[in-house]
Amino acid sequence: MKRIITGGLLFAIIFFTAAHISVAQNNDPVDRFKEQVNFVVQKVKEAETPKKKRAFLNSSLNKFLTSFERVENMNVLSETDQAALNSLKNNITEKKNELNGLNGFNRIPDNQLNNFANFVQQDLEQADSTVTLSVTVLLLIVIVIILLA
Amino acid sequence: MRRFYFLLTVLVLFAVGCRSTKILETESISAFSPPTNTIIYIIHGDANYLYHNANGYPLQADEQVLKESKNVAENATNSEVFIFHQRPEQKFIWLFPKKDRRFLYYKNGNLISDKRYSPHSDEQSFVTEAQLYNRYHKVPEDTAGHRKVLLYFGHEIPESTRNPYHASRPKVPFDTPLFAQGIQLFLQQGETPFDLTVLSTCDNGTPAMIKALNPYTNYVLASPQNLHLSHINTGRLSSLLEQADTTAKQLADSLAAQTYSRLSSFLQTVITLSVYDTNITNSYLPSLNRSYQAYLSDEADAEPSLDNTDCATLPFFDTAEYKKGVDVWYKPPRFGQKKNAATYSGWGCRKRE
Repeated sequence: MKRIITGGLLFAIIFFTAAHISVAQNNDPVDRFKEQVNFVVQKVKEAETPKKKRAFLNSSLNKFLTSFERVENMNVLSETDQAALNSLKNNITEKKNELNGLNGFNRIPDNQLNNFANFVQQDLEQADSTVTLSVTVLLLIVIVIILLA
Repeated sequence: MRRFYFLLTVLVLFAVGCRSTKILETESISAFSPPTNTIIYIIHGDANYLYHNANGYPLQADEQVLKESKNVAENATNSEVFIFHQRPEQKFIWLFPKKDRRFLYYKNGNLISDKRYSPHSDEQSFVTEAQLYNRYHKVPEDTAGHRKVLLYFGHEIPESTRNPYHASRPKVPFDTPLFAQGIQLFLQQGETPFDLTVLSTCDNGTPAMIKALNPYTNYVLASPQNLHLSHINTGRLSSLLEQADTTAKQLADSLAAQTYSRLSSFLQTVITLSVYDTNITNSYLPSLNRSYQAYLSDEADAEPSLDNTDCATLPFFDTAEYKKGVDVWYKPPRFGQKKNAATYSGWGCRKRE
């Protein structure tokens, strides 16, 4: 009898603990995506020369665009996800063009690269397009970004 | 047997840890002199509101606003302040809903009530919030000198329900008409409209939103373009309301100017804040909205943009007429396609492209 009670209580404790842990852990892919962007911005600010800043920004924006393409190719996107992803893709492409002076943009001057990195981050963090992407799609994007690192 | 008691104690501790209700009630509310202002904060926290400050430090925008609202409430010695923090609804062991939302009520700077609650309606907005509000709020005898301000912090309230708004309640609709109907619940019979409604959200300075809010508020402070939840500053609200002669227009202008000044110091993205005088905009809003809806139907083959653009860039917009009753604080973005756009009409529209 004692064993049954002990076993039951142990099961209940594991159950309660699991419930608590599931709440406490932060696995929000939007958070993970924003953390990736923040990592890029901090790295750009830390870079010692404009050349390194520009190169790191370029490679990071390319990585984001590659991750979007790979997720698109998985054919898992709903219509809403596709629209949100297109908006995000256009947003990043436009920033890459401006960074490098393509498509009618003037190239971002060397002394403006830190401010430009802040602009990229502020724009992504306040725009609703990252929030409207479904959790699954953002999770896939984050996974691909991490794999590309 | 000792082991049994030990396990039982651990289990009880876990169960106690799950208790979510904290009530600090004071029965002597009537002992305070009647407040001359009513301030309502509704802070949406049921979505992703993580952002990073200039040093890359992560912050939760809704928690920041909660902190600021509590500070305002503690300093508002002649006001009653209602704070609703709409946190994600969780379920205890995946079955039982927890009371995750938080309600705080301050009267003349004193915390009267601090309790947890859950929403009761899936069809209507702010039903439980309005019930809690009406439990404490008494319609003042002298309505003429009493000012009422409602502030909403969240992400864009869509014109019609499309994507899930609340992360933990994805099937619950939320849009402009539901928001306006919800706001109405805070106005008891015989009460005058809100003096000011503040929307710290993206893309809500639109013809549809201002038209929907028109019966319930005299002024609206909102952004027709992107604006982060944490961006509108209300820190000076209590000191502004200390002065009995501060008008609603002065209040709106002061909040807009203070927010603009702070954001200009660090923000590289666009800043657009509009103050709408609904008594003036009401005269042309039906025609503006009609023209806008006609534009949307004419271009039905093209997709509407996800973000707003300046209505003045669209063919139907009559700049001379539609700028009446709208004051704008605007700074173009430092980078991007719109960095040379020197002016902004104050109205946001979706462009078909």
